[in-house]
Amino acid sequence: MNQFEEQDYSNSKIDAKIWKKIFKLVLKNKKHVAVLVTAVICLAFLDVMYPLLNSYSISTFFENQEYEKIPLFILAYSLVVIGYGVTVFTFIKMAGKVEVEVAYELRKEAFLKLQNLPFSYYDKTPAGWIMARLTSDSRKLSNILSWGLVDMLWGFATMSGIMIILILTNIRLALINLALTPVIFVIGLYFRKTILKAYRKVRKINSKITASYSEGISGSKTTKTLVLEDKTNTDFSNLCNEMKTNAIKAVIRSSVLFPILMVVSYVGVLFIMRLGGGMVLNGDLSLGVLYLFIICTIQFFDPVMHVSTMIAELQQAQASAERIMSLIETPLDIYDEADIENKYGTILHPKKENWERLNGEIEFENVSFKYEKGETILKDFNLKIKKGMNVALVGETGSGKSTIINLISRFYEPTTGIIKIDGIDYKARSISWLHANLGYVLQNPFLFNGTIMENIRYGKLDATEEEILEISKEVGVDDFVQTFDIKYNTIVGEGGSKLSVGQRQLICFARALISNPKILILDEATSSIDTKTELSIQKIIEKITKDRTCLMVAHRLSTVVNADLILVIKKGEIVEKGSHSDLLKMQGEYYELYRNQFITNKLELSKNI
Amino acid sequence: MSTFLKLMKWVRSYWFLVLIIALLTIFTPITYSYVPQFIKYLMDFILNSSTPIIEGDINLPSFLLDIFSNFSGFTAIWILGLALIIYLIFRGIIIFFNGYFKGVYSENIAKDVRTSLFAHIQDLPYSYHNKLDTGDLIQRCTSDVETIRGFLSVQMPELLFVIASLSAGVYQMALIDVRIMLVTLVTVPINFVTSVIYFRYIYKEFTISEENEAKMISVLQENVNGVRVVKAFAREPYAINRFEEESRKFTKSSEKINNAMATFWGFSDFITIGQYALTVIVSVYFAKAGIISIGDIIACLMYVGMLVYPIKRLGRIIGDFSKTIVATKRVEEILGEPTEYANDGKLTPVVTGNISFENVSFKFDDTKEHLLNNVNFEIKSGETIAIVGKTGAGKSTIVNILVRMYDYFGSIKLDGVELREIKKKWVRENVGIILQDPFIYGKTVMENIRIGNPALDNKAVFKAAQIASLHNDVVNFTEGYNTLVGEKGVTLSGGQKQRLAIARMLVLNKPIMIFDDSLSAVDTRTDLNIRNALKMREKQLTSIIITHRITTALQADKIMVLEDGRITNIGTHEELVKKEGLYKTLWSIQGSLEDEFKDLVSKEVE
Repeated sequence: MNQFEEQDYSNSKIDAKIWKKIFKLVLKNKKHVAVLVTAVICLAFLDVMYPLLNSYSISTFFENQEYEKIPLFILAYSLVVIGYGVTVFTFIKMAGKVEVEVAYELRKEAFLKLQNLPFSYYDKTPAGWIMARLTSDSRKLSNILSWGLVDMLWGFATMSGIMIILILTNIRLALINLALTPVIFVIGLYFRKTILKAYRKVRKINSKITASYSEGISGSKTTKTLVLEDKTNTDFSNLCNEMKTNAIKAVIRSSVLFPILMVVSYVGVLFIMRLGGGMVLNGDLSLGVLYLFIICTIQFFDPVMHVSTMIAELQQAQASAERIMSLIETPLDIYDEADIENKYGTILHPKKENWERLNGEIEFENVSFKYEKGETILKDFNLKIKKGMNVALVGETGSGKSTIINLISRFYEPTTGIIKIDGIDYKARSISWLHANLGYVLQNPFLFNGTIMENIRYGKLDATEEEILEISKEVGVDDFVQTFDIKYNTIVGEGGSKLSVGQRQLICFARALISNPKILILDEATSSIDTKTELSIQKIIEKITKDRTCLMVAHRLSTVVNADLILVIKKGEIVEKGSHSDLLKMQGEYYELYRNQFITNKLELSKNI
Repeated sequence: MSTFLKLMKWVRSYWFLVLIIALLTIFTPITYSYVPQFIKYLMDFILNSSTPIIEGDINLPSFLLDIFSNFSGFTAIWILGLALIIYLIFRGIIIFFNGYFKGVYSENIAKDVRTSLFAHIQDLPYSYHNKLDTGDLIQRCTSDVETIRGFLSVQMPELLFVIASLSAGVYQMALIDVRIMLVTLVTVPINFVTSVIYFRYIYKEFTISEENEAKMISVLQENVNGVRVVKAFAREPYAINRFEEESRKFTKSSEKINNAMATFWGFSDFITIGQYALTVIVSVYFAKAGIISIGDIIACLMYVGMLVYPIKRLGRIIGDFSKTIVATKRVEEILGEPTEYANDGKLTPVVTGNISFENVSFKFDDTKEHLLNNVNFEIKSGETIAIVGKTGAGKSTIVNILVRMYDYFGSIKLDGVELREIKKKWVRENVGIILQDPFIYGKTVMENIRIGNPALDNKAVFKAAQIASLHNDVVNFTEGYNTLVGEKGVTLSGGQKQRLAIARMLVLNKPIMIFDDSLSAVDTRTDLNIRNALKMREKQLTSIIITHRITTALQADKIMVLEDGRITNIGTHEELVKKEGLYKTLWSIQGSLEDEFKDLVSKEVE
């Protein structure tokens, strides 16, 4: 089973280790927790106090007519009333505070971890999985940790408070309540568990329904062309019926719980009536106490229910906790050794004063690479790229050319062998040092939602407006930006969606070049743009690859024609090597690739003549 | 109000169920209101066991009182207790069925709204689907439906419950003492007003908080999606700061809500418990004056709860109502769109494959420009016609009109019958169109191919897959034809999707087939294989092929050249290459690619 599939944790045991970690998190702000716990205990105390006061009033005023105690009674009751206002306020305020603080801490820790995790993590972890940990799981967990646990604490405190009062008042009658407690508890726990289980099933079907809507909407034209409307409607209707059946099953379970508990607690009341009534008739008990017992028995199942509900929900909380913890505790595959960190600083606090200048010479020495469990991608790979050289890697998807780029960028590290930058193993310098000297342009031009200016500045946070303008003019960003009303303040939209792919790619060039990197990597930077834009980008590439080491992975061969060295990669090995014209003369792999490319380009061209 | 009536239409077919639920909902608090009477009876009985309790003192049916009065001492208490238990079992049954029927009703409403939305969306015209925002539509179909369902099955009964509970409480207390009842009602307006204010406020704040959360999530999403950029630029600290900023904003707005919650519940519990205090204290003075008994005060204390708690929910129901109105409007907006079958033909003639276009024009309702202008052509049964032209020339529009995705001006005859007189579904059953970017359902390859005809045997599926050059790809999948494809399964390449769509259409044996650039992602060689296999198969097939590949077009019986919505040329390849025009230009680009390539290479090698 895929580890990223949402697992059913309904049968998992309580894991003490996980809970220890969780409590550590909750206790980060001890003051708030202490106030919260105090408020909850006060609340439980008040919940016991006010039936006690009512019972006192019955005994004192109705049975014994001791009216001189009225002022004292009013005072006491007023205190309880004010107490309620204050404790309920404090309790909710604090529980909420703890909730948002825990959620905030969880997100913070998880996000921090995400920033430190190497690239390989993102390759094998679906984005949706990561998102769910930082959103729904942290929400669920913080909710249960604050309100849930507090509810449980309140339940226990009230339960014990009532029990203590009842035992102190009349131990014989209290035995009835004592006997009733486990019965209510077991019934509550059993039903809560089955209800949760039933609703889990409902939720699963619900997500299928959402998926069906999405399929029905995006597939609607195809459905029309195949005249499948009736079939899809029937399928959907069946799904809705399945939902209905299961939801009603869940409803039956939850509807039956309250009546059962009600009857059970009134059975307790029956015994109290009989036993207590007898005592009153014999003069052993006051009516006020009998009232107290009846009211407490009726209200008793409330705290017991809270406790059992929480216990049933704890498993879910644990599932959320396990998933978040698994993210926060993911071991790092790629990191700087302690002594490197001392000298060069960490990712978050780099010591730039100790960074050496980077010249741009790259060397692979017997580098092999394989994925954790997967097949070997590179084997004994050797390559030397001189400073300022312009190297192109071509080959089919999966040939290993992207791996070479990822290794140079230290997104991955060699399984064996070493990669030297300027003659020194790159592990002897910090990751940030390398990345700060690297310009990188991706296949999918990814922009952050913000202005064009902000996006370019992302490459050099302290860049002046002049610098940005200069680079923008150099790579052709300025040409189209001038046509926008608010120029560089134009918002690019989510992922850059408000701009064309070509425009986005040009901004990415500007972003990569503004810091004047010594090594420039173009990872299929031209494959997502149309043939027309490609021509203009080609000219820009010629310009920007001067005076720096440049590596490009190219799908479109027109961009590699001018490279100093072209490497044709196949199954992790260099099969052809040389300049464009050398390789064409060989009439081998490169020749074939070039021919296919030529034909595709021509076809593309004839769409828009 | 009209929105409210629209809301009610979902309820109409369940009126009987609704009636039962209404009765049970009213009975829930009413039956409760008699429970304190039993306790009162007990207290009065114990306090004064010698004198029998008569009807005026206690609000219980006289037959019960008669039964009770036949017993004395401990037995009387037993009988009273047992009667109470039996009564509560009866009440429990009412509560259970109330919950159960509400569930049945609620689920049926949800199902009705969902299925009618789904069916309606399916039937909306293609032009609607071209413009829609999927995310928004799904939200309307899911969370808006939930809001409507919740209002109809939870909030509406709750409103009834609140009213019933208040009335029953007031009635029972009035029987005991009108003055105490009035005292107990003192805080009801305060609770009502504060809860209305509170829920109004909190809904507003919730919207703000949700917006903040959405912002935070989008920053997170951006970072996860753009992680390569973050890492390559060593911008981790920057990313962390940005996320923390949004995270803190969200935390702040949650805390604001929470403080409002604390204030409201703190205040409202203060009022509620204060109400108990007031009732007790007033009762004490009444007792001092000898007006009420112990049984009365105990019953009164139990009735206070019936007045003070439900009133708080009233504010919430009122707050929810505005949300429901918005949700209903959003759902009705979809259902109010006319479907494409609002304007449909009736005929179902036999289709053999003769098509003629006479002065056909087309434009969208909201644009001025015509996408097609007086198009005239004819296709005879069994002929293959190719349509070539630049992007945006109107090629797809012609075939979309032919399968009735769009309406048209002029006249189109399918085997002599005017196309708009024919039922749309009938047209599509006879004219198969394979799209450039076909949708693949989240099912197995096998299920996808036979989706139009589930009864099809494996042999026919394999044969279609072979013709579409798909078979060899599929057998290489780990699970062959049982491989799950689509979102949750294997991602197919563009070419594989197109070939799957061809196989899927082939098994349906339609007399007319349209390839709307549907081999664009397939390489030239496979393209040729598929077309050859198709030729071998059917002689009677009429086909229309839209393509950018001249090598594909030239084999057609007729080639149609489309420019800016007009046919500029029509004829065979031999005829067209001789005439000046687009076709000749295209042929000059694509006709001798191999030779041209060799020229280029020899130049570049030098």
